[in-house]
Amino acid sequence: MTKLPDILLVLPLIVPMLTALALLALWDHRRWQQAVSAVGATGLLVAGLVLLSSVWRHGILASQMGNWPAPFGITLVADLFSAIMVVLAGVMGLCTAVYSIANIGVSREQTGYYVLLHFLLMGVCGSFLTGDLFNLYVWFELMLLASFVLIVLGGHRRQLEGGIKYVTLSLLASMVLLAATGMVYGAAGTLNMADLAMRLPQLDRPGLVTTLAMLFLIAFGIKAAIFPLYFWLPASYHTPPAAVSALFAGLLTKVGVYALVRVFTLLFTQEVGYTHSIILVIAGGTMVSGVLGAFAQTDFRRILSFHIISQIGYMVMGLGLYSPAAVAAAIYFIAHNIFAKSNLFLISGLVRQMEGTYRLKRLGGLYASQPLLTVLFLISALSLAGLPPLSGFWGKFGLARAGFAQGQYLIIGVSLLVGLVTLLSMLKIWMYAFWRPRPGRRESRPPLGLWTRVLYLAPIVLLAGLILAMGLAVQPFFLLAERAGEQLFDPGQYMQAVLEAR
Amino acid sequence: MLVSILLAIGLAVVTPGLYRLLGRATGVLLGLASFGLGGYYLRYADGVAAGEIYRESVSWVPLFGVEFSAWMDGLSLVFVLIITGVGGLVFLYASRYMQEYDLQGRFFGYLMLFEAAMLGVALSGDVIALIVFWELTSISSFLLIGFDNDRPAARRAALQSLIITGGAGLALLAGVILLTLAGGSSSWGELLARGQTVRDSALYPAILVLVLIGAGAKSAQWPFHVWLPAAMEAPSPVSAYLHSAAMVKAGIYLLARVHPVLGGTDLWAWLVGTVGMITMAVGAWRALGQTDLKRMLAYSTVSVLGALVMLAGVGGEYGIRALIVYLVAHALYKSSLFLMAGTVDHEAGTRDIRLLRGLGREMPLTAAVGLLAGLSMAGIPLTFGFSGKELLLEAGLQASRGSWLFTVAAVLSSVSMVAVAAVCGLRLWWGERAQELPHTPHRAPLRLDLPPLILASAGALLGVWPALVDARLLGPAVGAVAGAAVPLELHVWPIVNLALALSAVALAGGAAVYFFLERARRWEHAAHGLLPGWLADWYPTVMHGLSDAAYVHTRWLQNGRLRSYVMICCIATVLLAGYTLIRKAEFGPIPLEMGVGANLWALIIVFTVCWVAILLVRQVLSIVVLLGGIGFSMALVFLLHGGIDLGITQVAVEALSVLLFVLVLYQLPQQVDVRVRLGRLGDVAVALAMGGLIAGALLAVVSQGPVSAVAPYYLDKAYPEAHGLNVVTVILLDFRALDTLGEITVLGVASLGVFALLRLEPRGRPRMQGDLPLSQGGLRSRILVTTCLYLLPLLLLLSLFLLLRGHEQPGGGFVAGLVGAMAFALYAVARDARQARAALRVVPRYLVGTGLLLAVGSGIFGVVAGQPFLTGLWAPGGSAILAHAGTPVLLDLGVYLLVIGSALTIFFDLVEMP
Amino acid sequence: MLVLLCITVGGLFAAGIYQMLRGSLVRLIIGLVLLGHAVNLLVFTAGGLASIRPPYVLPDGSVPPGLADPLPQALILTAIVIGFGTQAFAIVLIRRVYREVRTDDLHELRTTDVTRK
Repeated sequence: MTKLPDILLVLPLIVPMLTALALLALWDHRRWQQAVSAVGATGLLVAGLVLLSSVWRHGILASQMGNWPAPFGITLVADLFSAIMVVLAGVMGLCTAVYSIANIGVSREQTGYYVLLHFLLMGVCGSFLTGDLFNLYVWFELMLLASFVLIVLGGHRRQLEGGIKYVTLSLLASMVLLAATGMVYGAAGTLNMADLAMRLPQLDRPGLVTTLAMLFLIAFGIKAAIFPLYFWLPASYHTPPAAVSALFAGLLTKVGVYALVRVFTLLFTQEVGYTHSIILVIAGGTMVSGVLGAFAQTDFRRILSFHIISQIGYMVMGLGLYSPAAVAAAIYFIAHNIFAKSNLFLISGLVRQMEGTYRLKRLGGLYASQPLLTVLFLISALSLAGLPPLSGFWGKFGLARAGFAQGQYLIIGVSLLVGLVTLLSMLKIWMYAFWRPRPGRRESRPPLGLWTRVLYLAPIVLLAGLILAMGLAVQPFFLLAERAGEQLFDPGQYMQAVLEAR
Repeated sequence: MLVSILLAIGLAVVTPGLYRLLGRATGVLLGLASFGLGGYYLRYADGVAAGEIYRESVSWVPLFGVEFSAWMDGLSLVFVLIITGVGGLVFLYASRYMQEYDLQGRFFGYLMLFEAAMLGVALSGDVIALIVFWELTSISSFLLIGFDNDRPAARRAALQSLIITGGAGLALLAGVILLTLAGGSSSWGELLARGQTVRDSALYPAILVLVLIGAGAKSAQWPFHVWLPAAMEAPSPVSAYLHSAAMVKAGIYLLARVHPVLGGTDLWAWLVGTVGMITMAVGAWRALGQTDLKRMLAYSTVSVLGALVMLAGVGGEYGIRALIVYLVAHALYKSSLFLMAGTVDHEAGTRDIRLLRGLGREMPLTAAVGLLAGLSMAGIPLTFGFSGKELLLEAGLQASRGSWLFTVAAVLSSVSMVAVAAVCGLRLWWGERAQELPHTPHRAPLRLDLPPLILASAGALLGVWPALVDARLLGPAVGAVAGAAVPLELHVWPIVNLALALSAVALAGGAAVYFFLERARRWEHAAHGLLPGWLADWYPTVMHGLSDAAYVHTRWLQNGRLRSYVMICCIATVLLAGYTLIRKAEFGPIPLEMGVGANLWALIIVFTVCWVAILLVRQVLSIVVLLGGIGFSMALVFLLHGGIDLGITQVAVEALSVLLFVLVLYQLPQQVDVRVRLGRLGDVAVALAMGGLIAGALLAVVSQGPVSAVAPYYLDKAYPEAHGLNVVTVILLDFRALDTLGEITVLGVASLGVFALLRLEPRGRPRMQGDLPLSQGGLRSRILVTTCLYLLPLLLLLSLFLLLRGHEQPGGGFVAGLVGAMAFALYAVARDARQARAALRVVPRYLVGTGLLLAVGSGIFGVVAGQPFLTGLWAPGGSAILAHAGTPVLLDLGVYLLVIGSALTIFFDLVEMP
Repeated sequence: MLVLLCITVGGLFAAGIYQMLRGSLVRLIIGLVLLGHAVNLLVFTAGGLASIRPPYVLPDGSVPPGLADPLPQALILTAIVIGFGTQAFAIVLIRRVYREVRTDDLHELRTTDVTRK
């Protein structure tokens, strides 16, 4: 009999892959591709939810690929954190798949957009589930390459310009990651993360291990867009279609954050005083620098892009504080941020579709003409700024609470002030695009068809609903994050699950 | 009680829909609903007066100990009655006043949301839940201030108010979290019991300051007060409700609420008292300089709020009594004055007090409002305002700390109050009417006069009949703030004492100021003009500063130059990792003897020559050749160190790469180096540092010798369990098959990416095979063409050979695929892509799909057989061609097809696309 | 000779970074290729070079002593494939960018990335 983990753990990889292959076979059939893509994304979400509930009930699950015992084969492993991330990937995949049908356009569909979308999801899920450092590199590459293509798909000059910066810096990060991985193997003789967690402390070379930790911090840091490594993000994220921006904004940087959290709770915990202080400083810099960048922008999506960075700072702050409560808050914050940030991007795309521009100076009048969109924007924007009773409030609350408990007053002060500037720049969008009367005369665009509106709005409404739910029914969501944080702080569980599976 | 909050929120949510159904009746209906809520709360009055505290609680976030709970004591009761009572009247007023506005449904929705949030603030039994409602009041206030959103001033004022109150709300949040940490709970019940613990805690000063910032900004305390006068851009009902009666009192409520926990210390008295006193003075002084009726009222509100905060700071029986009574009195007269100002504005079309005179004849009822409320505001005996003012002065006189200071300030601000009251009660109505009013005023509709009249009359009524409320309602509130029962008995007729004398002084002074109002205004202006700009109006200064800082920061960091980005990333790497590496300098003995001697030296010389040459050469083609040189030396290094598969793969990849480079670089500028001189030294330094870091770290790693914990296992199990002799291939296809699955997917995606990049131009549909121009027949070298014709089958044969023996000998799907792809790629380059496509017979993209399908299928077999994914399943025995048939072989085949498919997708397109 | 290889890796890395810092499209891709080589060689070196005997089991299934560690080789093979894919994409991207902007100068690529007032 097949054991449950053996199926549950590979489904998040196989479902997107088979979906992508089916889409490849349906290359010339647009409508079918749209449908299959949406179904596949739903499948991924369901697979993620089943995995999550199973991990919740049975604890950490592991499956030895190829039936080779750890650490010799590759282990797929899902603790709560991984499972949560897979579910989030599923949610985002579904939202993007649906939204894309209206947003992405025929020519991109004909050049493999949906195929790439699902390969991207496969890479993302692989990164979340793998228990092997080199395998993590492989999934990162898959995710990166698919994202490279998606970001330049369409070939507009701005996409190419952004793309080249994105590609260059991402590849630089990959090189550092691969180099660091190679050195870890050279130093510890294994690649399995659970095995490494056991061997690294026994090496008795904290200086070397911490150096490797710094290399990982740089490599994952570039991908997570922390300060001062984030340049590729504001250069590129505002260039592709909104569906792609939204997916990237929600998911991709979080894979970097996931990896940071994973290695800095599991592997590199020998010199916490040193490493995590550095992380905390970086977190502060990331928040401040990102929010200042956002405040200087006058383009809907560029504001949002810089805010991604700023918000990454909060997640990294949770890691830097390094307590179960702080990491739990960071996990909650990741989920919140994925919903809120992606939703704002999705909204920006709909605005663009209706008004023809992302530039705030040319927008206006949405408050009067689009009541539903106004409400949806307010929910997402105020949540991002951390106002209660929305999800962002509880994320910041959790972080501040954990930080106070450790006496880290400075970083909390910074995080709260950054929250204020975040509010300010969200209101900037509001003031220009929504409240201000529509400037000048513009050619009247034909109203969107009903079906198009539904496709645009369904994901936005879903995400807004999730933001509200996370804000009002905090307990179950935060409890999940709390348990995930506790698991991360008990590496023994992880090691046992991986090394003793089967 | 919780139900009532939820009901109010629900009502707010459905209000826009309700408006669509009911139209203008909505306002009236909501007003009645508000009164209904008030009536419901009144039911608790008797119990509360008897000293009871009503509590309800539902667990909300047990993880943080946060409850959604209600707490009804005297203080809460007074507040909810003000909120619902004034709220109901404002709704009635607004139902008429807002008739000319668009989007009324939203207006009433926001107003109801505000009322609900305010009820939540006043009733919350949990500080965290209080914050939630607190910020909700800020948001609804934002939406209401900017309701007339077509006017830039309204939008700006709304933004300012939200930034200041919302920002201070963050300070409050921090303070409250500290409070819950110090007090061990977030519920009032627990906190009230642990006041001493909190006050003794080291966090106490921080808690106090943070809470004061939050409460102070909300209640327009100096220096945060600037948002309140600006908020007068809001429609008048909003000013009356939010900015005199309810929201600005939330800060007072909070200070009163935490008084039993945080109050009573010297720090509290001085800090809170001083802030209040400054605010009181600033508000009073600035009120005199205003010409806009609403702004004048707003500054006088600031002054009163300052007085209330000062009273909270002064504390003690007198202070708290005064606080409660003055608060209620002010809520009554000030909201009616704001509504009156709205009516005047509505009728006369202006709020400029220089124009507004002598309106009494046309608007008698409105004049009555002004007079009644003005009397109360001025503190004339037999009004409720008198009781408030008298208690204020009394509290100043009785204060245990800073008595004379507080008293003098209170008297001076009372002078200004009297003058403002005279403007509202006398000046507007008496005298000669100005001719140049925008509208000709006439009698206001009853619905605009009645609500303020009711409020003003209530003030008058309580003045002559204080027994109606003093012991029953206000007494318990005083008790709640003081933390112990305090008797409260108000008297109708003034008692002759020092406070009364001071009151008379204030009255006389006020009358004098009123008569010289023009001069006072000029003085105020002159004095204000003396202040430096950033002090007089700090908000725009801060905003501009922030904006400039953001701009400079972003211009400098995100400068658009990829070079600078790479540079910063490298510097960060070198600093972080480099410092960490040398910090402990754990290098073992450097192993000098391992490896191959002379050969390696030779290779390394080749490396060095190549890369130095690359730095110097500017011909792109030469660079490509040199890169090839490096690639082939890599292959040799691998071969020399036992990496046979690695070596041949590297050779194959290098060959394809060179082909690729030639195809592409062909179209790039042939000479490079535009910016040779650009910061070369810095670049060299950064590059060397980066190289040094990597070399150093690597040295530190290898200095301990090989430590592989897994290699022996692979060698031991390769043949018996994975049926292969070539251990590298076995690892790729079996031990770490998942890597391979991921890796070939990457390659497939890369080929799709190249396809998309080449085909998809902005605007216009992608170019597909059918509509390409006939391709420009390759390089057209006869020798090459002929060679390729023969090379194709030969290379294909070699490729199959490599594929089949991969499990035993050097080879395998990947290198075999590369060779196969090379065959067709050369063919395409030499002849043309169409013929190569014809020779291949299938669309390469389908090979990609098939290859991936085979690969993933080989894994799924394992799952079907009840094993983990990618488990190798082997056929028993073996066949003639393959020593063993098993799923890893299937994976190998998948790799083979995929590599051919991917490489050819790339090459064919590159050759085809001009 | 391990030291030699370490230095070679460092040198390749430095050369790659230096090329990337040149502000030229073509140099950029050359830099990436060099970095790719550097990292592959690094993984190879980091494995320790225990032996120069290729990791092949004898046809009878017995394991001769002193074989090279097969794992780094497998890792590098994977990395080579991935590197080939990413490089192919990057090269074509560069070509595409050049056709669009008609300059080799990376500093010209700032039309969407600079904050304007």
